[in-house]
Amino acid sequence: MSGLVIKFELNGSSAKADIAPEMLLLDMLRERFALTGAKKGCGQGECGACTVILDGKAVNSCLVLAAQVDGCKVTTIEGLGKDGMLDPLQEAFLCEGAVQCGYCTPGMIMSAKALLMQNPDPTPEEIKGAVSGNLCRCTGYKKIIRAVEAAT
Amino acid sequence: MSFNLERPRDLEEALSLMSCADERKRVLAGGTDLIPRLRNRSMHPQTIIDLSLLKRELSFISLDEGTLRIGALTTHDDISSSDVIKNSVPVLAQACKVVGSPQIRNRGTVGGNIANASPVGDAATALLALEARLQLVSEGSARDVKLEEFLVGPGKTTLASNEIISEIIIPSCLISSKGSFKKLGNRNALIIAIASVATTVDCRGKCRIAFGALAPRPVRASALEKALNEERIRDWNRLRNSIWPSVKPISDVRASAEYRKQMAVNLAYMSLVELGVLEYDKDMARTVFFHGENGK
Repeated sequence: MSGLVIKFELNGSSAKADIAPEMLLLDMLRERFALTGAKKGCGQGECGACTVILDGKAVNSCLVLAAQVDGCKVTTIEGLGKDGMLDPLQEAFLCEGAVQCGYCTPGMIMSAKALLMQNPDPTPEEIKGAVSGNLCRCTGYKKIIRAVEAAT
Repeated sequence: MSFNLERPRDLEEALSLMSCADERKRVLAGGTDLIPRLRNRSMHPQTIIDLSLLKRELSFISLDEGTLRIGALTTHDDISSSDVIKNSVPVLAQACKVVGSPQIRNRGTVGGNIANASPVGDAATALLALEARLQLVSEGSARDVKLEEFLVGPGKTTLASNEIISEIIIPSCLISSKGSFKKLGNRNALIIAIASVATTVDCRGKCRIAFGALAPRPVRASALEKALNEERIRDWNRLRNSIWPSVKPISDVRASAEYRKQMAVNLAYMSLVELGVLEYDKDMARTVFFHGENGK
């Protein structure tokens, strides 16, 4: 079983990793790059806590082999915001009180970010659709939707 | 889980790898079905052949001289947001729109949905109501099969060990069909269907109806179709009985067989009314939805 070397863009910078074929993108991000924003909630693509943006689309990083991101662009929650300034989505989540335990939050924000990248002015229904793959056990979702609306 | 990973750069290379004798090989497309199964150890491949570099060749939607061809690696998101699909085969756009979640739809492919051969496969059910054919390719050879004959049972297809699905073909008589896909689940997203119905009405008014999650594989409701198309029956009280022979639901964690039988009837009624095949009858709707009947 050989190690594979992959090269990809991670949060705007070039990255390289030497990985086993079975390594998942989620595990590579957390263990090799110490980017622990993406969380392992279910490991089956059913909770969205591991959501990152891959080539412009929100994906469950627990369902992507690390090897598959060779040559691709990956953005995690840590890649939002710039020079110490938070992304408007992150600000909005804080201002609206859309964060309680915080476990779903990175995944929620990445799903919302992927939406806003395609559709900067979504309807509430479109926002709900965009985060329909992200489960939250704390907030009841209302403030999350409001936060995404506030960020537009 | 540990395996060899092959990432062929083009179809020719992929098919050459597929021809190798290694029996414990699996094809990886979007990964939304395969990776959970690797993790829960319900499969132990020696080699995984990742097709994700073949997007250029196998991800496409092409409407050409009245035939619609969809590449096997086209994602559910690509299909559900395609104007070509929405205009020509709306039932498929509707089905792909309700698979899983946005994250799943961004990765999961229509070819994967078919090859996975789940009894509840949404895209597969819609494609059945579109009388889709599949092109299967192997090194040096290709063949064309009906989707209906390809899907044999839960997780079982007639795919040979050296073949992959390259494209899905929808015949011209089903282009510009009206269509409706209804999926019943216990929440609004990430639903594995309890029951689903795909209905199409072609330009001659002929109805085709496929049920998902109601048998070991998605099935056509042949008796119901015959009653609608040949016998021209429009009385739901008579039509509903023709559904029972087509469905063979099981009781499982999601629902009982009895409930599923009842839902098959209700979803079919809703679809046929929505598509204008049946007239909306307030009293009938009340009977269908609030009283139901014991499934026979």
